[in-house]
Amino acid sequence: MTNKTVLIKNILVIDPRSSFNRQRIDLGIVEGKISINIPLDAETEIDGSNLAVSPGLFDFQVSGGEPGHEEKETVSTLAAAALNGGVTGLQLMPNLVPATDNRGSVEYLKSLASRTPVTMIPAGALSVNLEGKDMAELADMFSGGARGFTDDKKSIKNPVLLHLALQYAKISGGLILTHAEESAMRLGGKINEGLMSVQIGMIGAPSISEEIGLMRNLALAEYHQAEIHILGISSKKSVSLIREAKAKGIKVTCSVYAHQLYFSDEALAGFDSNLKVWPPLRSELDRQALIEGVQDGTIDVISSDHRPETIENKAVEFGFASDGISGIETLFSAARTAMFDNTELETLIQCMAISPRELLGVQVPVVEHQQTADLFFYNPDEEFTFSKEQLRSKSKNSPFIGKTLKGKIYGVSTNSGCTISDI
Amino acid sequence: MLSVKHLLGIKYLNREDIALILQTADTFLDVINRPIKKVPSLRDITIVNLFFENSTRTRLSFELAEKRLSADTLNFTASSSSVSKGETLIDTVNNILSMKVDMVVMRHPQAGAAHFLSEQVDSIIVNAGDGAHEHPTQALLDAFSIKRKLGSVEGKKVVIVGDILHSRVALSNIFCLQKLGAEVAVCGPPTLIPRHIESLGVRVETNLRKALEWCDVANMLRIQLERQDIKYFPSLREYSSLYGLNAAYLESLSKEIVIMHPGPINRGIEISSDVADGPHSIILDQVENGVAVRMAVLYLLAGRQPE
Repeated sequence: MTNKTVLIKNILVIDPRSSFNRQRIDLGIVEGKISINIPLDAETEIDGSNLAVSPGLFDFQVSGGEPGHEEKETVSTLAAAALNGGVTGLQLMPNLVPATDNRGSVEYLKSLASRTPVTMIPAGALSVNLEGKDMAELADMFSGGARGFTDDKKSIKNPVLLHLALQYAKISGGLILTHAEESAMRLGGKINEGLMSVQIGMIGAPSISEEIGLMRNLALAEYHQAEIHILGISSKKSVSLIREAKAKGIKVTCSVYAHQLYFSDEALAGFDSNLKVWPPLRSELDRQALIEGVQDGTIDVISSDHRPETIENKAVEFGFASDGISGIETLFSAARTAMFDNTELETLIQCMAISPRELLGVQVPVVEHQQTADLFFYNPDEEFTFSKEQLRSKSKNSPFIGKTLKGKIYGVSTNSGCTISDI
Repeated sequence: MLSVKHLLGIKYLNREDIALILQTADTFLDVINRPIKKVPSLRDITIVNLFFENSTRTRLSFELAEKRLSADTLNFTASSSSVSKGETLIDTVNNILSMKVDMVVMRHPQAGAAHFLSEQVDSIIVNAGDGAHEHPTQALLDAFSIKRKLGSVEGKKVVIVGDILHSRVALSNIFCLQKLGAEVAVCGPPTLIPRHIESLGVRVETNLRKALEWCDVANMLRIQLERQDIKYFPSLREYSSLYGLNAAYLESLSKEIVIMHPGPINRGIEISSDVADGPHSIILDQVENGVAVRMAVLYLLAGRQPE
């Protein structure tokens, strides 16, 4: 149900920036604004004893399908999927057809997104048509509303391009986002080089391919004293490289994907193509190091790397399958489940709602009186079995189908109103 | 009865399965050495040999095994690239199965393809090689050949020499020999030995002489200079000087060892003619045994009772 005036009684606030953090409040939502502990004659009154409220999640790395691949996702199905996962804001990767490499494309995407309740911030392509050659018009795209610039999964192969972009971003505004990879060092591998690649007879892509690229990127960022964000790190060594770089004062931030926190390459024994992702699932040791990196603040952001793929691209031999997980709907629950025993909810909210917005200079919602009600509601401890029927994304390529997850999403509040499913 | 419905890899078999297959193969080896080399066991069964990758001997061996069992056989050969762009594997196989085919023998360049197929279609799948994953019938025939030559596999030391990185034969052999109680080593240039392979419990040796002094059996793999765009060693000439086996080399060892090769042989590269055709070699026995082992596999997977 969608309501204009809602009162949720006795709900737990999880918001490290709120003066009500860890308190139970009576949360009112009136015309899109928050009221706290004020008696209210609401259209709907809900018992929130089992629920928590936090700022709406912001998914830092999301691939859509519109324009170009509407068979995978449209802006409208993406918005429905996002809300289903408690995500009220996201950054849309430029890997569309045509690529988001000019202001017109940025503005077009913003106009499509404005018809949905979800705040979608298009990331601009770093290079023209994502070709990794010439810089795209970063300043113009920034004016049009882009806040991050990236060639998405195409790591920047040419160091000169990164060298230029890190300097140029100082006048254009916006943050340079890149994967770290020396792609030749994949050695043709499609999964991680490790015990599993040996057991299932696949050439492994060693994590050093990521680490060599990361060292290069960090050196360039240090050289230019420029800000850089490394998307989706996956290895233990990458975590320690970033930890050291931060200690040295290099202006680096990084993100990790929720599925990398949940799965290791041990899950690949059955050749499930829904687990074919890039960077590949690494070892259990790497997974543990990623979790530690989130806990100690080395890793700033947890994103889903939502990458919808059609059944035709997935129900094929593992080596032929496309990379990616339709993951925006399990962003929170996957991370929560992976880190249930040892990580404060505040850390998760920091990494999935606060830091990603701060990195892009976007206003961060806060659970305070009279603030905009950009929120999501969830039971942080409830277990549920995730099913295909729950997916709102147009694509169903989720390895979480059939998994028991913790942290069930019950609804969101956005500028379009408040939606809460039956408790 | 086997504990599995399909033969996807040695890793999915237990020791009893392997023993049953080898025991059944003994019977079929007798059969194919009789004047009438054929039995009617599978005359109600139709088998398709689905080869998405070039193979001559494996396909011939399977086809002969099927014919010796009186099965009806169909051959389908296609390049995997055309299949990956056009009809999907599932569609291809379901089309064939609609013509009332009972079993699928498949060679495919992608690791996991047989496993994938077994989950998607309703048929009995025999993996005839999937990428660098498994080639279970090759491993079974190799174990069978060692058993026939040396009396048993248990306690024997076997070294696999060559391109371990791209070899399905190596992986299946490691699993099979270990399950039967043999010790396994791999030997080759470090660039062709996958990192972490020691996690499978195998010895890693880069010096051929040391490996051969250690072993009872050497299984020499076919070597190719280029895989994809990477040259893993400088030249075949240099490879041959470091890892090639000739009669003089064999003579210089302090012990007698058995020489195997899954074929096809690059004479003069990984193995010289005097070794391939010499008294230590059981390469042609392997080929003969291959038919018997494949007959055993097909017979047992078809649900026939061991005699």
